[in-house]
Formats: sequence, structure tokens, C-alpha cells
Amino acid sequence: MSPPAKVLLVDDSAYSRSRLRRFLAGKGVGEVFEAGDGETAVELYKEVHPRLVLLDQVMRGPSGIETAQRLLACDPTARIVMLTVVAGGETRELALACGVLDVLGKADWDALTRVVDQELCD
Amino acid sequence: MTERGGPRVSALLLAAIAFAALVAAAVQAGADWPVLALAFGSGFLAAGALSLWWLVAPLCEVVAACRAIEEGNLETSAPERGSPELRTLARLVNGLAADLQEILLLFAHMLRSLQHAWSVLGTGGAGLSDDEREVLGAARDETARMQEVITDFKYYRVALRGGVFVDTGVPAPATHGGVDHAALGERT
Repeated sequence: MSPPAKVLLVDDSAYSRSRLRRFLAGKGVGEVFEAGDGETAVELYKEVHPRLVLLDQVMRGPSGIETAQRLLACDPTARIVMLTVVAGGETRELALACGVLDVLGKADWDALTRVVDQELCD
Repeated sequence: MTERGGPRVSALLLAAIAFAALVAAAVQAGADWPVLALAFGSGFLAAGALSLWWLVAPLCEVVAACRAIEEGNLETSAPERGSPELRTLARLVNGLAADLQEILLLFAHMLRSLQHAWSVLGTGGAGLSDDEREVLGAARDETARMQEVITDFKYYRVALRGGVFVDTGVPAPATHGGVDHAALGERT
């Protein structure tokens, strides 16, 4: 029996993290960890080695892209999906070039469902 | 004890010991009581002022941040310094500002979707009755008014450009392939 999938949520908004947590609970995700900023996210990643990271772009302190770069420096195999509530082709291009799997809108639950199903149900 | 609390207390203790030594030397040298009283009083006042500064200054910064947020400036951040309670308070205030920004931007996204829906419905005007067109017009006006409220705020690393909110924390790409390779750095 495979161990429960671990997901790391990184967002400076507690409201946003609780929305995502409820969404993941509905998908039956085993263990969900939360970080309110990039630095905490890197420390927590090293500790729990999640299977998937859902990462906000606009955060106080290190941005999502900066955090993704640090996470990928620690673990080049890290699976990171960036979530953003604002538009911006530059954000998407830069994030994908950094090694992020995908950049999704925070209101795009269908896309998030597809990504979570794909990453956690393999 | 806070991260800075330990060194601060040590500094205060050292200052108190030095002050006591000075007073003892003054007593031995036969200084008058009024002079000694003045020295003691000054010492206590200085210690009190230092303690007040340590407690009050961070609190003033948190209050200033709250006022800025109240006025719609979500770009502001309360510095997380001082006693553990004050750092927690600052962190909570910053968290509330982040939540408010998140909710407002999600609301803006929803309003744009609504406006698009209204514009699509509007183009099918031939099939709508006068009452239906009036209701649709009122809904459009209300959506526009709500969008104005959202644009009154000043957001953290987000700005309104061309009618949409964009991430200002991302550097503008170089013209080379549309991707800023310099910002990416080397990655293996």
C-alpha cells in the first residue's frame, strides 16, 4: 500500500490556503502541509518532501517564482504548480522556464482538478 | 525570551551595574544627597524610556500599518519586530491584509466574468423583452460600480493595467524570445 500523498500549500493568505485545503480534502488527499511564505516553504519542503507543491505567485517576502527557484535548487525533481489570481503572460513564461509544471488561475478549479488528479493518482 | 530580548536585557543589566558602580563611587567620594537623588532619578528615567521605546515603537508601527490598510493601502506591511506578542500581532495584521487582497482580486475576476456574460447576453438583444433588457442594464451598471470599488485599493505587487490586474513583481521580459533569461539564471 503506497504512503498517502503529501501536498504542500504555499500562500501568504490564510483564506486562500483554507480554500485549497478544503478542495484537497474533497479529493481525498492524504496529508496537506501549509507555509505562509517562501522561506517557510523551503524549510518545510526539506522536512516533508511533498509529492506536489501548490505555490502562490504574489506573496510577501520571496515571490512564488523566487520560491520555486529555491525549491528546485534543493530538489530538481520537485513538482510545483503555480497558482495566480492575476493575469500576466510574463509570469507564466518565467515560471515555466524555471521548471514549474503549470501556472493556473486560482479560480480555475477544473484545471486544478486535472493537475491534482494527474500528479497524485499516478 | 525573544531573539533580541536576551541581548537587550543583558545590555540593560550591564548599564544598571555600571550606573550602580558610578553611584557607589559618587557616595564614596562624598557626593551630596540631592546629587545622588538626581543621578538615581535620571538612571530610572533612562531605563524607563528605553523599555517604553522597545515596547511602544513596534506597536506604533503596527497601528500605522492598520491605518494604511483601513485607507485601502494593501501594499503596506507591519514590521514583525519587538516582543513575541507584538511580532504575532504584526504577522496577523499582514495576514489579514493578504486575505483581503486575495478576496478582492478573486472578486475582480468574478466581476470580469460577469461583465463578459452581460456583454454576450446584450448582443442577443433581439430576443429580450424591454423588462429583461432593463434588468440586464441594471446588472451591468451594478457590476461596473463594484469594479470601481475594487480599483480604489492599492495592492501588493499587483496593479491594474488595461483593465486587468497584473503581477508587478515579475520583471518585464527581454525582447529575446519573450523570456528574461538573465532573471532566470542558470539552471541545470
